[in-house]
Amino acid sequence: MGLHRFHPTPSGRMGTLWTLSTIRNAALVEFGSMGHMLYGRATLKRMGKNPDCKLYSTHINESDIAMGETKRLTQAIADIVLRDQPRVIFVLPSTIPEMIGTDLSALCRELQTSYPHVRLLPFGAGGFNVELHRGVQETLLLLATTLPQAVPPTPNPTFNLIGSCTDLFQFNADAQEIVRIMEGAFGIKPLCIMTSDTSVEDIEHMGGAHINLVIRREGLSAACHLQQKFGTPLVEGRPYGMQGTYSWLEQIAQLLDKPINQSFILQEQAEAQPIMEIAPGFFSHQKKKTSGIVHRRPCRCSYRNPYLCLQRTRTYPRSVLV
Amino acid sequence: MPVLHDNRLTHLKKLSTVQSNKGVHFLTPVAFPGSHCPMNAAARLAGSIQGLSSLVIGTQECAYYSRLVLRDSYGKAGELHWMYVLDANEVVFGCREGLSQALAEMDQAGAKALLLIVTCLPDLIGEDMEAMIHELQPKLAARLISISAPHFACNGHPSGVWRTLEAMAGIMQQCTMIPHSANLLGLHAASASEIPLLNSLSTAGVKLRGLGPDSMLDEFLSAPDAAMNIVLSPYMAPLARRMANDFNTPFVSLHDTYGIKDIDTAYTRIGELLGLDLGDAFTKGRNALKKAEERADAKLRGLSFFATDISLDPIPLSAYLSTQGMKPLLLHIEEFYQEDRQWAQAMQTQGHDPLVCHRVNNLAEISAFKILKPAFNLGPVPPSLKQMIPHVGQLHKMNGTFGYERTTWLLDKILQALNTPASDVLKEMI
Repeated sequence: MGLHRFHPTPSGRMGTLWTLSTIRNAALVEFGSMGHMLYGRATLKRMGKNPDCKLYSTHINESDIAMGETKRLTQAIADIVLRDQPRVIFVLPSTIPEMIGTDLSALCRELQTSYPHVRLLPFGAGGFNVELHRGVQETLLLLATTLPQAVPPTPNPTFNLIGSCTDLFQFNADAQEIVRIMEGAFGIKPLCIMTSDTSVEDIEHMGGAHINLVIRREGLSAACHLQQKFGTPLVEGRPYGMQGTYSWLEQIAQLLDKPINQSFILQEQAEAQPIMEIAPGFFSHQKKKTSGIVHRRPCRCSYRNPYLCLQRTRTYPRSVLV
Repeated sequence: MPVLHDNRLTHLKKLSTVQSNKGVHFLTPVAFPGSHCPMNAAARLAGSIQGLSSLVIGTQECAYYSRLVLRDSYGKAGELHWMYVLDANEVVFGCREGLSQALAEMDQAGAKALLLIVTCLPDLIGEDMEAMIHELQPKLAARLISISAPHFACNGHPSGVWRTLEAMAGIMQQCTMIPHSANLLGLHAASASEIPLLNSLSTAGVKLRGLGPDSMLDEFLSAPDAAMNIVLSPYMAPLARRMANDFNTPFVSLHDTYGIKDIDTAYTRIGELLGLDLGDAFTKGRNALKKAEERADAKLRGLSFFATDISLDPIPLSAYLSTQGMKPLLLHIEEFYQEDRQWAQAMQTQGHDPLVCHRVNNLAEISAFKILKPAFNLGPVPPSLKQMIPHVGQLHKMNGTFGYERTTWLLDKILQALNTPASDVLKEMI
């Protein structure tokens, strides 16, 4: 990866931590230096999310590394079970256990018998060639394969939103907007927003949803697994723009066999129209100049902001623009 | 609810048996949230010393998260704060080649002095930075220094600070000594004007140079021209020792002296080294401390205490409080310094051998308070015990100050806390 002047791509381990850190009624313990977890907390706060999952770290010292000692993890799990009694404890490796090859899966299997009421879930994505996106993908898939229980579909239609994770820019606002659109267009509510606003119980019951909306490719494998296990259909994609959003809703309508509430769409269009009219002007600086003589730029009419009269742009020969 | 090992403190060691950070165990089993790593402290320090560039060497975590501290890749005075991320291949075969190219690139980009911060993984695989620096230095204009900053070798972050400061001696140059001059190692500029010793030295014509996190690189480089170093922070003690070794610059430590006799001795030594007769310049402060000790005598004798504040070196402080009759029971050690051994021995001669620990979860340590039942606490106590245990907070204010005045301030604070009835504590909390 070499020299970086700016932020490098986060690792798969970071993707896993960020994805799991928002799940309520769970605890997460990282086997490794405690500095990592402190940074993880600070980063999550900057992303606009206080961790809902309780984030612990075992720390590790030279003797633990040299001897392959895992007593710290055993004690940490015992302490967390006693204090918090979470439904699930996620167990993550830090860089050093990953380097020395600590087998967390085997350790969790061994410890699981001592804690029948708490699920111990070891996570991977710890390799040094794994980056953020694969970490998120593996985490979503592991959650989808381990936690959901066999439940009947909900009486009223519901949906799961898969892939809304803290690493996405404005994940909260986007998730809320999708929930609003789904309620407006179909009158249906979310069952599980995976993982930015969810709990262990929500994930356990996500098999009851009528449709899975996958908003990032990292969530596709999880949704495919849910489709196989529960027969839940999926729609992949994110709603962008009026036309794009309508196409996205049409796909959902087809799978749900439910009509789109047209009055909601008309109302949204009416609200968005003034913004849609001026929006292209804000991106005009990104238009590439092509060879030829015709280029467009806002006219210099009586409007103070030339972009406001974008509908009346004039054409100029290239020489005028230069 | 049991939260400690077997609901006892048998996992902790006594101070007399501890020789380094390795002997300091966690008070509670799991960190929530725990302490920062040395890389954090080193990166923060590198960002504050004008003229010093840095290169964080490690995994994606270390590089990505170092941006929480070093937000800008370029400093105001042309510093570069870049990162080198090891890939899967380099984790196995080493990063020597890639790192050499990276250093050459930073040299070309104009770094004057470059601090290599070696984090956990490159340290674990045994990448020999000193050898690399030795090999590359003749080819580069930038002066290279490196520090080992693995978190697995310690509990807290201070080694990141003192190792960085100590490494600065590696790029200092031998200068002609200026008589009547002194470096103040660890001076907080804000408190300088309030300290009688510094006022007296200035009045006597001594040229003083404060060296701290906000100093410039050039100030560090010219530090060997001083006649002596006055150490005001435990972070600076390793630098002072190295300067004494490399440049024969004598030093006097004031950061760990609390008692009247110790302060007297230190001030006299400063006078000797600078060829000054400081006379009775400190009589007022000395008398004030003597009176404070007399006032405190009856209240403090036999008072058992914990020291849980993370901003202080608690061992010399507890050694002093032992001489006042207080009984240390449990000390939080952020970093075990070499000099701490002498203070541990001093405490033993007073008949005290407290337990030592590293606090990592303040919500879980109630059991420790219930088991040992301290009558007083230096530092924070768990929220549910605030009304029951008198305590002094904000002890970080003692950092950078020293001498008679610091000890007087501390004794007054302790007496104030002991005299505060529970109802007043509640009012403060509300």
